[in-house]
Amino acid sequence: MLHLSNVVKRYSSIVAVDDLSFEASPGEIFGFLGPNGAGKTTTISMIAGLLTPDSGSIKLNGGAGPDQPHARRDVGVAPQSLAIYEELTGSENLTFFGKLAGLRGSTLRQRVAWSLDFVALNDRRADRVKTYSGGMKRRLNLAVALVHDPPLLLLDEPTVGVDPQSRNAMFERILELKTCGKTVIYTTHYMEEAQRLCDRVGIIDHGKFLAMDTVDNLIEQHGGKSVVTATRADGEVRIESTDPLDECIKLQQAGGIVSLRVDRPDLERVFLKLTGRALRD
Amino acid sequence: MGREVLALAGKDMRLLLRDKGGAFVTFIVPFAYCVFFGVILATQIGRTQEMRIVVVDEDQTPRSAEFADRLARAEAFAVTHAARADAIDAVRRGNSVAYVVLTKGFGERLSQARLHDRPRIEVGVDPARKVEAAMIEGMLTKYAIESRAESLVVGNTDREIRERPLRDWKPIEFVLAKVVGGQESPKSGFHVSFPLGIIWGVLGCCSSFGSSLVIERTRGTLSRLRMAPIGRTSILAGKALACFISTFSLAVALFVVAWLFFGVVPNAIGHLAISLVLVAVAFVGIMMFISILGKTERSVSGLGWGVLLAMAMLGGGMVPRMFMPAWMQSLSNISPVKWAILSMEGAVWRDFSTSEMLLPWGVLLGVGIVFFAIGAKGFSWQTEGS
Repeated sequence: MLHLSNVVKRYSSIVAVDDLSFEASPGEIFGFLGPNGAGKTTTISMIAGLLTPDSGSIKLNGGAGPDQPHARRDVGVAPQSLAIYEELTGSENLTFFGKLAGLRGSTLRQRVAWSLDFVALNDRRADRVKTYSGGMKRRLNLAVALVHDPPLLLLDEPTVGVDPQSRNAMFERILELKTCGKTVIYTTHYMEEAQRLCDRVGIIDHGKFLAMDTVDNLIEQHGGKSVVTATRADGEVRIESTDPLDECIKLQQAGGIVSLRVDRPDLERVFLKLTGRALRD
Repeated sequence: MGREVLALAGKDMRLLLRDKGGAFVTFIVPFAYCVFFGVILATQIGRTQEMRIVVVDEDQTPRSAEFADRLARAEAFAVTHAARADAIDAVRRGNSVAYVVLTKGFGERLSQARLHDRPRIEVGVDPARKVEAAMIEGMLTKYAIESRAESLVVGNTDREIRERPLRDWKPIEFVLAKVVGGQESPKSGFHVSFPLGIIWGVLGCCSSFGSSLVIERTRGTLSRLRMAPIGRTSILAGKALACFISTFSLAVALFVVAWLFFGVVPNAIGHLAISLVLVAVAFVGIMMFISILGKTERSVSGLGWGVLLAMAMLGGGMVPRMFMPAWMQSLSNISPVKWAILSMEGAVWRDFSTSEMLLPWGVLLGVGIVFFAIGAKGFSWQTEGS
């Protein structure tokens, strides 16, 4: 569905994307993680056809590059910054972008209705977007990406500024898309989102992949051991272990335990280990 | 490509109409301008301080040259010289208030000692300048009397006056020529004010759409359009079409109002239709040019209005060109506003022939093409990466 091969993008002397290669298959959610300035949005922009790689190739469904307008019909993008017309209604926005993608007549009407329903905005379809809440605008931003039913979705931090209820609803929708066979490229700063949604994750920094695998494999390879913290009357004990359950049993048997806490390695720990703790701009 | 362009244009039209402030500036202000200045011009048409005239010396004698020189020295006139055809053309195009032809034998008759052998002058006055016709006649009479005073012989004049009293006598014979074939002058101030008002609507559209291209870029929707399965040409074509439709329909609507309620009946509907199309084409090009004047909405709006106001000032969009001094009327040739107004006036009341319309039409078409090309080439599609 999506194939990047040795893609390089420079901004004068700065290498934003450095020899990046990966593939994403139908029905896969590929997480794209990285600190600010790592090259995520540049990569997404190249896949979307906004930027042209300096070298390397990007192939979409069928082998054409995103520089070909007809090939972009296979791509739906929900950009990080909201890109919708506030003076138009939700329905008008979707109708407009559907027309640009070549939809007409009843197909267009059905897709607009489906998209509004998908993001739970049907009851506000006739209201101007400027009257929507931040979360509703985010959902409409996602709906615009879906209206022409593309096989490849690029979702660039789609949950920024969204309340937990809306975010949870969006997760469920995105997982539905996966079951429909869509390929989803998902960039985020929220590790729990990637951990919950993504089949594979690529961690990028300085334009290069530092690691790329399933979430479980990344945690296993880079997450380190679980930490069991036992609180006793005489103080706290921390034990690193690959089998935290066994450690808990042993501590319990030894007696005197007030409380036990297990910190399992997670994607955030992997991310910080790979990209470091230094602050980024 | 066509349907996508129509979708883009439809979106922009909808956005324009939803922006109450923009719609007010674009549609209501020009109408108010038309009515307001129409009423004022009804009493002002024909008044001016310095009249630009073309002198045609067909006599080519020292006396005719001396008379032409007197006119050139007069404060009331700004004189140029030309052949008859060019002089008529200059008046028909509104570049000069009047032409004055010193006919064959003018010098000889001017030197005649007899009162009733009068030199003959042909005068053609811009139909918009009825009042000036009388002023010009008065001025020419004054200078003719001054010239003839040196030649008249007292004895002769006494005898002539006894034989033929001086009632209705004039020192020169005036032949007032018709400059345009049909209507001799604008029937009302509205004939002048509506083309001017339309220009303001056109400028409003031009500024709104120029800024909207930048708004698309700064608000991220331009990126989304670029990610859609359409080319850049379609995006610009959609914007251009929306600007064209707005500009053209505004002009048509104002002319319909002018026709129905203010008695402004165009002399040539076909010419007017072509003029309105080409005015829209020219200002679509200027809209594209304006969009590259800055990077932010504010800078494009500010600089855009700066350019448009300069065009309007020079081109007679603020004050009709007939009230401008001669040097400014010459300078106005560089303003597309001048050609836009002239093309509309040519069809509404100046009664230009098709061949006379070709110049303003050509200028408007050229302006549209050149400015659009510059704007499209200079337009920044830049979007930021991470």
